Amino acid sequence: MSASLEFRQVSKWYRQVSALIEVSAAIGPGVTGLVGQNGAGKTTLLKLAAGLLRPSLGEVRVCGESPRAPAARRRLGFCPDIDRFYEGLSGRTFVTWMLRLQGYSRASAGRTASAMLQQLGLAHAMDRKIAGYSLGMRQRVNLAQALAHEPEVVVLDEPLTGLDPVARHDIGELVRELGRRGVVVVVSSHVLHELEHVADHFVLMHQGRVTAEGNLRQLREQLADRPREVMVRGPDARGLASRLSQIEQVERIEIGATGITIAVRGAGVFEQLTAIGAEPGDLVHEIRVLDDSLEAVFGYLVS
Amino acid sequence: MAIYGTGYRGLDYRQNSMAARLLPIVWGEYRALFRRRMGVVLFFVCLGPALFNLATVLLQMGVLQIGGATERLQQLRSINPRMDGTRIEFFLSLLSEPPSFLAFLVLTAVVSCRSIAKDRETRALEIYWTRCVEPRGYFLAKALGCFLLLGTVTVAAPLVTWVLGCLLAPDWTYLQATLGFVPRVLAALAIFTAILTGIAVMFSAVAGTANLASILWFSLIVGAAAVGRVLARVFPGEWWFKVINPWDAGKRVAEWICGYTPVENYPVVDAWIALGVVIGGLGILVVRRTRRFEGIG
Repeated sequence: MSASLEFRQVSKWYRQVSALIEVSAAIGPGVTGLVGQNGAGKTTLLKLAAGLLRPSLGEVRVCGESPRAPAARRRLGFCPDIDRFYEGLSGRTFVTWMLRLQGYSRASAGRTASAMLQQLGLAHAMDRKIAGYSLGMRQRVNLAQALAHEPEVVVLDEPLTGLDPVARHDIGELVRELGRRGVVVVVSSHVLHELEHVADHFVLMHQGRVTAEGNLRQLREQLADRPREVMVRGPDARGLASRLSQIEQVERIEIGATGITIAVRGAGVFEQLTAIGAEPGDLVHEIRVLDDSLEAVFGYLVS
Repeated sequence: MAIYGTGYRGLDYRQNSMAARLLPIVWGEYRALFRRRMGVVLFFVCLGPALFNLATVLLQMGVLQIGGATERLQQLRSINPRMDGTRIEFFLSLLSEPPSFLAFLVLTAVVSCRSIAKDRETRALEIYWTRCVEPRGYFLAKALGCFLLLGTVTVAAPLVTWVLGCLLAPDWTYLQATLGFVPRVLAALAIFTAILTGIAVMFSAVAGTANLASILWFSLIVGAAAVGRVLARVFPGEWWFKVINPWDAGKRVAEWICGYTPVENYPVVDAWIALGVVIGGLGILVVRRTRRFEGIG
């Protein structure tokens, strides 16, 4: 059976507060980004997947098993949004320890931990105490403990928060590589533009519900009733605006300092814009869709 | 960055037994105190009463010669059986002397009360619960680690003292005089340590923070002892007031196991009941607080 993570009509209440309401999602191999504002239910969903919470209604399946089953726990790696480990331990000892709890023998755990930390760029610091690690190094150790036993399902809660650009890039690369290897990776993050580069599938959450699911194109298509915003730049702004106003699908034109922003609706617009660009007179230098980003789509969906 | 450079291997390792999986927790707990310099200092300070006993035996055997200490010890031995290495009171002094009491109390507060509460505080439980570790096994491993550390002071140290006494004695008289009760005393000390450590670890499992667990532990031992003493004066003849604190109850049980008759020879059943109530009550809370689900934060 291929690796998968499934939520079937999952609801979760904390006393009177509904954290999740009838969430259904089937997540397969690859990287899935979990997007939502604070309190949207992302962490609750991830903890349900990791078996740390029990759903009030519905069920969660990790590779077809309950997250509570030992078989599921062996196949799952969880990276919580914390960086406070055993400060007195070295990175290597900590990861070795976690592997031994997972079921590795002492020798095998030591070898695997060292290899994992080396792959995560901590070869030089793995024998230093965690207390002396930077935030980026701690996050790498956190990832190492989640990945070292080579799980088929990896749940990462805010792995990019608080990291410097280099660490973000490295961890983003790592997550992408996992997805390419066929691992089911679920990543939650507030850093939407970076999540956009890491994940190829998204689950958008708002107030405990899944508001949309799919890749970026599919998500944008769910917003067919909204006009798309396109930035068009050229040397002659007035001439370009006049030419753009002749396109039937253009609903609005705004001339700004950086270029002309148009709101368009309907099919065939981009063919016409390309045709204008090909016309003599060098009217168009750049055509850029402004609201195809995850951030924009998410903004539309929650507004 | 290449990860899984050797290819995705999945579950190619052989799962070891639950006991083998819990062993790192046991040793981790045992060694936790020694990871900090202050911890090492504290350990040796708490080992003080046991080291004092060792020095007493060495003086008694004539191995240590410090001024007139040997003669002074000879005088004290006739007055105070606690200073005589051949008497049961000497070994049981680890339960009755105020310095031993303080050492044990501090060590349990620093080691046992922090053990699980610290993991809850730092949310390390979230990582544990996603591993192949059950809450019950985790609790037992933590308790065992703490017991081994406390046992080093309360059981291993007297054992070493006794063995050294036997080896350094000029003849077999020391062994003959002590062999009858020392194994029972060591067993009693081990049971006493296990009970008290277990209660402290239970507080740790119940409390939200390590500091709260330590406060609860101190409150129970010191507070209950004070209340017990007051009530025992108000209601003379009612022995059970004296055992409402686990230290005294544990001490009474240990004395009973050794076959030692204390001055306050109240029924050991009262002590067992008092310990049973504390352990039972805390046990219910521990089960609720260390559940895999909702047992975090």
